[in-house]
Amino acid sequence: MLTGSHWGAFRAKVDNGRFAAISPWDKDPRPSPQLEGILDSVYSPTRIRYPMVRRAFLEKGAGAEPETRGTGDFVRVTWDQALDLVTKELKRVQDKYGPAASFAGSYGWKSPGKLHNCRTLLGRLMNLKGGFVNHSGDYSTGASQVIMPHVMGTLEVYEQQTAWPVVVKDTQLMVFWGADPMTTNQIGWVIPDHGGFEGMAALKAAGTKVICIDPVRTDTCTYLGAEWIAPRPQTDVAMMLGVAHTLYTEKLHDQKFLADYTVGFDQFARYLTGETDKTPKTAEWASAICEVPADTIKDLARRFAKNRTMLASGWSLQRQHHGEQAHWMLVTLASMLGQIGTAGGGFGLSYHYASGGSPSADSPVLPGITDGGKTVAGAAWLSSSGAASIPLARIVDMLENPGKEFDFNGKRDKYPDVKLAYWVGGNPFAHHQDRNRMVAAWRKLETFIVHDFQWTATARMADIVLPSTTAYERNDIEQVGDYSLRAIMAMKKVVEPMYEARNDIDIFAAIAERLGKGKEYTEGKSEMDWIRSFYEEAAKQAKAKNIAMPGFDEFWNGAGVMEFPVSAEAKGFIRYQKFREDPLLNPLGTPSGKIEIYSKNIEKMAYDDCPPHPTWMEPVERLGGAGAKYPLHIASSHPRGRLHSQLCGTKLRTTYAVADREPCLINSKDAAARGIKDGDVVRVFNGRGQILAGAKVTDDIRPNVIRVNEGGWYDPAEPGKPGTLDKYGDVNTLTVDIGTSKLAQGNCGHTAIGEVEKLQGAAPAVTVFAAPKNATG
Amino acid sequence: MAERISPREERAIVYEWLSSLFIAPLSAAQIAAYRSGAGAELLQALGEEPSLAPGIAAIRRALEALPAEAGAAIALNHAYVSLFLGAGGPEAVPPYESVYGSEFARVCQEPMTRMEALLRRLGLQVGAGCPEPADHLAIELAAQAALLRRLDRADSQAVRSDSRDLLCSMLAWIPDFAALCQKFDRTGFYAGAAAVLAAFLAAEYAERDLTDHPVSSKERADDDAITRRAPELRAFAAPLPPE
Repeated sequence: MLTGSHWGAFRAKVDNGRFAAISPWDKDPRPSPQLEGILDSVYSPTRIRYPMVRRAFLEKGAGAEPETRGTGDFVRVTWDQALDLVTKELKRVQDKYGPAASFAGSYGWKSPGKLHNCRTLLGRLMNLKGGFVNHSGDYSTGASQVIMPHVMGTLEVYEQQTAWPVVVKDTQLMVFWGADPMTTNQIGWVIPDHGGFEGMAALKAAGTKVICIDPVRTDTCTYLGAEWIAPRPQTDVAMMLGVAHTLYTEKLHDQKFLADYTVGFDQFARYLTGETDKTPKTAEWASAICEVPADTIKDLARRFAKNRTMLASGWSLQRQHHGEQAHWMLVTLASMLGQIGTAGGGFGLSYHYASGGSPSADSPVLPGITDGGKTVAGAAWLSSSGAASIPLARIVDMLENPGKEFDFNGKRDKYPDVKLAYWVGGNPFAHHQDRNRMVAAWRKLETFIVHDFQWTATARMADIVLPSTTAYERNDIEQVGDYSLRAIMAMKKVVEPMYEARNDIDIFAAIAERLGKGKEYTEGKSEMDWIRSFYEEAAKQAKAKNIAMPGFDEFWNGAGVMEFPVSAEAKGFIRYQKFREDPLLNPLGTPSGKIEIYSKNIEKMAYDDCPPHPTWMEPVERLGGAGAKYPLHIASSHPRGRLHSQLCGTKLRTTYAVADREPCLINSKDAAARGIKDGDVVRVFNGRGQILAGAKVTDDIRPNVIRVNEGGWYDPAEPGKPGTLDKYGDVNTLTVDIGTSKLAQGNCGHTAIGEVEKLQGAAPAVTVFAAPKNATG
Repeated sequence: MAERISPREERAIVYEWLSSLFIAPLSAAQIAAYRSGAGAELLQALGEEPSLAPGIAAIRRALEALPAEAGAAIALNHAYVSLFLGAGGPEAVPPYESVYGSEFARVCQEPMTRMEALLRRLGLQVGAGCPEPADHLAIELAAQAALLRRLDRADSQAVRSDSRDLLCSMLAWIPDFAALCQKFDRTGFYAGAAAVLAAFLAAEYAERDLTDHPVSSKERADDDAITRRAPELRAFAAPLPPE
């Protein structure tokens, strides 16, 4: 049957109740090779099979021996025992500490599906329970999604791009700045349509000139035969300033565009020329910082100005200290080029994600389950304390500093005093930075509850672990194409739940029942009732657009997919065209109605780490930075062959011969200088921690940068010992956990420098486990 | 026991005993019995078999090294959960034949389907309270015990064939399983148990009855595969290095 996933839609072949094979949906223009990994997720050898409780927690109560979390000492319990325990804990913490003591923001990639949206389902329960601490932001665009509304008056990062057919036809110079769409467009938040690959194939066929600015020669660079420019990581803002300075002094910038469509350029120009700080941001100045030759920087400026240029940036640039500056400066650069709102010109922040630019279909919006949004009457804390939400990436800061004030986007708030965390659909012990610091901070929690379908480092750190189903063990419904929304697809159950796994919605409903809120939670609806209601709501909208959709039963039992038309207009969509045509009639959502190169709102905030116009500021540490303690930058990008941390495609047979480790890309010069050969086990380290990885020597990465993909399993050699070696290559052991700035408080997953060496001697010896001397049964 | 039991029944008992070690963590009572009760007697008896002696010795050393009383059950439960229920992550040892058979480590593959068919032929099914795939180690061992008992009741070529095929397929994955147990089990108990398992299966194969029918090409292929792995199997019959 037909169903979908983060990697695309597919047909599942079932043999006697067994998920036997996957074949891509015939309408997928470029199925992902990662689809095969779906079989690995359903039939993973590390599925969580039964409800489990950490022994000390079960025997001695909440908060017992938190330093022993993560050792895998769990006791299997029945579902009734587990549900009773969870309910008891939720009530206990609520009654003893209030609603702001339970964190249930629960970030992660979960699975597509409008009903089995586990994060929302958790919020739904917690709202009925009496409230919880939520989060704002995410780890994808933490900085940009906060600054872009100030600059462009809109979220920007998750909004439709100028359509690919326009880019293919009209863009003369395509610049991928810190973006690798060939890799990242395989996945989508909903079911990806992979339209971005069609766009890139057409771009390739058209022979458009492409430049990739990246420390690595990416798949995109190779595929498009692009020119590769490799600045030092974290120096993109300086490089862009060098380009801007060249445009300005050579009078290549579009003064009319700046005057008509932007505010604050004059103030910025005084910074650019060095009038304000005695440092002209010349190409030479930039070159000393970013290590790209000054002539190249100047040449880029001239080529950007001369051609119809699309600056397509990824999100790595803003996942760093002062990340807000990157896209602000990019927009400023694009404003100086004056091509925003033209066919194929300007900037785009989502060509690399979920096929931004894949033309939008004329489709209804498919609704999904909601979290209720209401809180229990008498939850006065919401008005008095105001700490209902934290910027997500400050979670460890919150645990370390309850009651401390923090700045966020012009407001001041206090961190709540959290005692319980409930996590579903995510793996914070993979995605959060500075692992050692996080492990220490996590001890503060009295209770940590986790749902997942497979063992992760997070599940192993939990007190209560509940096995949930994969998306292929339940029914759901979803849209195809994050930006195109080109179809609605039935996600039909492929196989029965494995082991004792249950759907999150049923787990939460059972807890709600125990809290006396069962009816409110389920609204008396079955799984298929909900799915039908979402479809019928969409059908109503479609009818208003004169699009006929079949009745639900015909849809569900028939084709299982409803496609929507893509108009010629959509194929010709140009972002900001209307704004460009008439900025007075179609103003941006900024205070001035224009692009804010200088922001008075941000000026009022008076943040020392986020000035009122794009500014180069030295990050807390960087390759080549003054006083840098380590000589290499550690890149931590998304792996090519799996989604974040899922253990897909593991070749188990080799694990006892040569330990399967995260590859560490290293330039041949850096490897030679350290006596490292291809395949060596290496130790990557800095002041925050140390990990093991497997060296892969290649000149597809620039010198002085190494790369260990994020998602490696956190497995400390000696749990509880500070600075212990992580054996399987969790790169977030090395990254820094600070906010991008007081503005966005985004995560800095790409800020890390360190060193690498060949592992001396044998791999760490397995320490013998000894039960606590006073253990009682 | 005063009553004489058949050789097949003796073997069935060993298969069942091995199955009991891997189906669930041991209780404190079971461990106590292994230390100084009926279980200890069983270990004693098995230890007299030369091929099993090293593995049995390893089990006994592990039992001695474990803490007293309830602490021992805690330690073994921890090991069981980490090794066989997946909590060990990359250091887990999945107890399913499917995982070892192909390039990708997945459960519920052809071995499970094959075992389901075998169980149907035996008129058996996995118990309702046990939602495990049919190629779980403990289930395969229990199935072999059932086959041996079936042969005692009514010998037949078909059942002999099933028994032989099951033995051969187990010999294809148990060496890898046992090696992983050796590598990742911190208590030494499951490393020892898996060593006994591997040695026992090797002995079963060595002592198989060759006289009853002409050797088929499949059987010849099985023989070749097993012979190639003989050094690994012999390793489990050799004394294990001291802890």
